[in-house]
Amino acid sequence: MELLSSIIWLLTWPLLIYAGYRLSVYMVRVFERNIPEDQRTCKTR
Amino acid sequence: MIENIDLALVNWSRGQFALVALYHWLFIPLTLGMTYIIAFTQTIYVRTGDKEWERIAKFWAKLFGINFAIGVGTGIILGLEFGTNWANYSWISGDIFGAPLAAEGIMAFFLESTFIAVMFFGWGKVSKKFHLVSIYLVAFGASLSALWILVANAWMNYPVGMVFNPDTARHEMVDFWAVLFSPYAINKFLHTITSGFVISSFFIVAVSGWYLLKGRNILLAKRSIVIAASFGLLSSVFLATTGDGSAYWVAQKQPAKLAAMEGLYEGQEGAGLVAIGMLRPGKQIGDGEKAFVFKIEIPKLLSVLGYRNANAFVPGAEDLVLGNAGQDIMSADEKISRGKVALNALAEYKEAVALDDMQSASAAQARFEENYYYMGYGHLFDPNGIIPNVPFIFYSFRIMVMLGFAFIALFLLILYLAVTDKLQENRWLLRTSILAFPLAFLASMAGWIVAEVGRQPWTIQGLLPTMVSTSNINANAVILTFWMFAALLTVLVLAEFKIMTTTIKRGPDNAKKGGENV
Repeated sequence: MELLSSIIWLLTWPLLIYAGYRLSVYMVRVFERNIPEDQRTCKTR
Repeated sequence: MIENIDLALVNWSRGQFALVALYHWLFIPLTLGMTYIIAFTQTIYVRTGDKEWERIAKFWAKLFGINFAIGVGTGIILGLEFGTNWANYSWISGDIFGAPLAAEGIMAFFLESTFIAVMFFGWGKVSKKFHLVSIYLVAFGASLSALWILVANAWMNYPVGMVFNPDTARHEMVDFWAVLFSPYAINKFLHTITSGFVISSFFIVAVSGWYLLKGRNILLAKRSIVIAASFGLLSSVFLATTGDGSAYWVAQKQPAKLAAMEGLYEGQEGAGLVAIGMLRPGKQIGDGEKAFVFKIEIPKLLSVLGYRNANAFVPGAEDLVLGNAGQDIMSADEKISRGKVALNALAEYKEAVALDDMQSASAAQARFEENYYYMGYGHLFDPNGIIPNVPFIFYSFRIMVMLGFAFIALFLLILYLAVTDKLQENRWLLRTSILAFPLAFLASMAGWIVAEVGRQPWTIQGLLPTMVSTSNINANAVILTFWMFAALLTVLVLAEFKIMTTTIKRGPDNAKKGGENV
């Protein structure tokens, strides 16, 4: 049980990275709504 | 036994390891976190085709490269010190400690060193996607490297997955998975890499903030701050979560460290957490004096954090040293006595085996196994010595925690002002963000002090004291190499600082003066 919970806890590492990327992209989108159009990224998905 | 120990050798060996580790940790956090931030910006470039994002990724990759090249050397020195200065420790525990270090070399170093070449030299030469995957693999390799070394370090705090072989007088691994997936190790790994992410995020925010203050590279700076502050905010929240996990495991496995972290001398049920406090100078175990000049305490929080129970008993330094029969805690004196029985039984066992007297060997082995758990205590002579330096640990812990929570608020504020494009107007916040970078290092160093000084007097918690872990060498050799390393590493840090600041001043386009203002 301790082993399983450790493995699950370890999986939060890639999840944190993915969440970090998604949050960054979302914040870039919000940021780009507030800056001049010519400085915006072509298409931040 | 104790009369043969050269305390100058022990102290200088500790000092040398601390010195090299301190310098090593100046480089590693940036390696851990910057790779992911570079990968994020490059991912946006690959997905959008906006060349400005590639320019941003290239600039931070250049700074990462400088840091990486200088940082590798310090890690090699640390690894070699296990052999040169800590030979007794390596002899007793090399079977276990060596395995994760070897895995680090085989898996993480090879991964990093293979793909770092593609990362640095592959811009425009390999496909965009392969280049991006290479950056992620470098980032993954850096974290994997941290995982293995922290598995080894965690084992020293919470030794699992091994048995002691009385025939060889060494610890031998019996369960690799227990060592790798020790909850102490996984939590330590997550806590440490996220601290690296926070430091890296502050580095990028600080450099970008400096550009905004100077009115240079504005779009690069603004975009970099949005990415770094987002990652930094998430990481700093996760850092607090794993910090909670650390407190729990320290309470479970290292009660003396917890007592020092909290300045807790008298154990209590429903113990509170000291939010702010000043320890009474000169306080000694069992002197009956109050531990604090003043303190502000959050009721019951220490019991909750340490035992997930608001009324749980948290042992204090006096309980651990003098014993507490009501809580079934053995005194340090009793542990030392039983440890000496274990050591004598081990010596008798080896003597009996050498004489082929199997009956005596069997009796000695049974006595040894009965007292094995206290074997490390048999090397100690001062019961008070089982408690680490209380003021050093107490204040270091508070510096780490207070700064850690302040960073969450700071990232939140920076991110809000960055996405609303109001950050450049708040020059005080830009200056604060520059100051936050060294403060993030201070918090991280304080964390390492809590972890490592807090483990004293042990190299392996409860099993091997630091003073019997050293090599059998002359203290003068360690003193000489201490100053050599101090000089060499200081030159390396100054060189990195000079190269970094020159590169930052030149900016992404390598301009010797000024820079574009878009």
